[in-house]
Amino acid sequence: MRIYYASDIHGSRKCWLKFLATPKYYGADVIVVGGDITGKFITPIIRRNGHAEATFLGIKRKLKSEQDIAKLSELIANAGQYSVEMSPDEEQTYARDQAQVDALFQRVICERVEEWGRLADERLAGQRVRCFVSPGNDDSYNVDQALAKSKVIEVHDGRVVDLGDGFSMFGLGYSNITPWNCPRDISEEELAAKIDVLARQIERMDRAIFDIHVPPYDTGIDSAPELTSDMTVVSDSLGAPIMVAVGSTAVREAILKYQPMLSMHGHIHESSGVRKLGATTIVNPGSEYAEGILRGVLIDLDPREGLISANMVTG
Amino acid sequence: MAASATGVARGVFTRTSSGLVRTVGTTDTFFYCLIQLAITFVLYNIAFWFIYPGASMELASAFALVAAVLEGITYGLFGSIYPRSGGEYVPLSRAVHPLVGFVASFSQTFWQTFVTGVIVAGACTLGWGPMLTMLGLQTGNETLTNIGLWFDSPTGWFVFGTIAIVLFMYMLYRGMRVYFSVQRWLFTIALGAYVVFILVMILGSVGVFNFEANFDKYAGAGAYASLLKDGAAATDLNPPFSGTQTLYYTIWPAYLFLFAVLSLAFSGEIKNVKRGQLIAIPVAQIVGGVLVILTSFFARTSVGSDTLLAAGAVGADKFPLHYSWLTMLASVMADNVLLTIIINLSVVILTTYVAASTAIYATRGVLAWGIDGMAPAKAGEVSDRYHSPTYAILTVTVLAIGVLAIYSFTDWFKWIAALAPMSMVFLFTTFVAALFPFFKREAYEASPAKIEIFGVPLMTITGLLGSAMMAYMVYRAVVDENFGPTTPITRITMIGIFVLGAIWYFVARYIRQRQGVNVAARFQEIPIE
Repeated sequence: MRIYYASDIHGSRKCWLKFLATPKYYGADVIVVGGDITGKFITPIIRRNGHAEATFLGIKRKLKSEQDIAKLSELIANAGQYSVEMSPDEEQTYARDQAQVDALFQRVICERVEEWGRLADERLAGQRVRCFVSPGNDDSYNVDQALAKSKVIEVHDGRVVDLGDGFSMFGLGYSNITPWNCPRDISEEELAAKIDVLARQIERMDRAIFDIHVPPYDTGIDSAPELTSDMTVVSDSLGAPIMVAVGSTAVREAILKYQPMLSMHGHIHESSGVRKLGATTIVNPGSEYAEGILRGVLIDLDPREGLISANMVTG
Repeated sequence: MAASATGVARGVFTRTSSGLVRTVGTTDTFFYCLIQLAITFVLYNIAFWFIYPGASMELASAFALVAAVLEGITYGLFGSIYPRSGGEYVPLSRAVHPLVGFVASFSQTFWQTFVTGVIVAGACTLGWGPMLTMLGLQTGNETLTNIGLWFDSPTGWFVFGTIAIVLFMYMLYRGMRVYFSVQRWLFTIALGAYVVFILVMILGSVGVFNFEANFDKYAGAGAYASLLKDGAAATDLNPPFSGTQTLYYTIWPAYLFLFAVLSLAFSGEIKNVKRGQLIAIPVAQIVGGVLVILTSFFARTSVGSDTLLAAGAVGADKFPLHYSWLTMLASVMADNVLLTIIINLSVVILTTYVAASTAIYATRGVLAWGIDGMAPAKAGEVSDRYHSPTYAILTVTVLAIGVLAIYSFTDWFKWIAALAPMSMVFLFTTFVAALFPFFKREAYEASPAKIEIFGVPLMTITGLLGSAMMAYMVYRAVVDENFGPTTPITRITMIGIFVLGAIWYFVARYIRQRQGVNVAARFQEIPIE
């Protein structure tokens, strides 16, 4: 059995389309997204006096035709952002009211997740592949309902699924508390309790896969830049960011306690790797969603031998 | 969360979500770039100026600076397209081919390791030696002079270099944050001391210090006149201006300025909106360039062009003091123990830091190969305790000390032999970046690099102009018998490293293929139906 695992694609349409192509491209039997599927930015396209304007990636762009608007909207979607057409007055209103911006986010996020579900239904139809998607700590709870509308996507968050050949997997999209207080940030104690509930349902840990969004603490796949109180990256004297471990202690303890065959994580984009924690192989593919690059891990399993290999790929 | 609160560009709305951080500051990146410039190597430029009769050091430096700034802008823009990619490795892998990316990375990492080994020896030659011998002369303490001469001997290079490399690598392994903050302060102090060095030369230029009198004081009565006489016999001490020689000479300052681009993005996922790299690289190049031009100019006006030419032309055997480096001449001119220490210590610190920063670059290269399956997985392992790449550091340490031993005890290499192959990679990357908007249109369009002048991408304009100027310099670096890889072994090594990189790639690919891993597929873009 071959599993393709990716995470943190954050609304990038291009990454999602690549993800849907992985069964054919890598010969994967099971494909998994381990959380954080929604974007973080809305780029307003402001219509005025017969043309439109947008500031995308710091560059102000003047759009003269509907074709220009469509082209830019595609670039924005591929970078994981949401384009919304509006008037200058509407843009001013949003700029003054974060609550309205948040409501707008919920609308565009659900629209895109539902669109992704339809794309998955079209492209995976007729293929012998299972597609699992779990939300992550950045994803609001209405994402679950939007995902549920797809016919082929299986949401494994908070439940144990049987993958066949004796292998089982559970998903958990929560994270320990981050500096941003994201929708699914919870305490270490709550995280430990949720993992315990799921792990106890698994019969064979030597054939078990944990898919927990946040990586285990201090394992080299949870290193993120240290931040000051105003979210500025702390750097050393050579200008490089100082990296610190930000993973979950609860996840670390759970992995050491249960020793599953494999534990898959995301959350920390800049800390990819395949490592060992006790007897468990732990992976984090990292993320470069904003460039439309899909990072993943190819995992080969054998019913008799368990985990054969876990290799990072970039596509 | 308000957009402006996290450094996001205007005209974008954000929500509460993780990862919204400010990128590493432009000032920090500027410091990194400035360290890479190795401004103290201007001492070599001045010492070898006599080889290019009629060359203007200042004009050549300005010309080289223009080329470097064009390269710097191009790199800054290219880096903003793939902001998480360290070095040339991943951009070239994605833009051209994994083989090309790996060979470029292999060559750069090898030569960075090489340079790490020999630059620490440079700290002895340019700094410790002149400082201690001059202090010995000024205080009448012969032991100091002898210690200075020992520092600048093959044994001294090897011993000091090994200690410096091991100490720095150990600190890198331990990830000592205190050390890094100390380093920032030390570097700032060393830069301040370098400014004092320039001020000493300015005072010499306006007659506050008398170089001739002090030279005779330490070298013996009539020594200055003899130096000029011997110099005049060896070369023309007042050659007319030569444009051709000025162009030939540009390679010397160029190889200080081109290296600022070794800083590639450390940005977060807010995609380099501030373009810190784009600002930091050229500004560092300009600041470094101004320091180099000022050093060259005031060297001429303080000790005199004829003195510099004579000091170079007569050779070490006939020069009456232990060194003819500008630091020594300036120390003689100032004739002050404290100023001798300040001038030379700035050179020691600044030079050692170049070695340290090149070592970091090399370890990052080895680490990336380990992670990507191009080297044994051990190379990609990170210490559980200190989170530093243990085996990558160990590999670079062993290789750097090995290179230092070869450099110290054989005549196989001149350190500048490394500059031609390294600049070939800079040239190639700049050229690829110039064409990038045309063969990777979508990636260009969807990046902060999309800046156009009359519809032509800025990175194409700067990339083509920069690569044309750099191509000339690479050519000169290869054919100039005083500069480049002109011995058979250095030529073979230069080409051999590129070839070895390609062989390494194919062998690694074969081994991984046998293990069931398609290395090529690790980089190939997944086709979208």
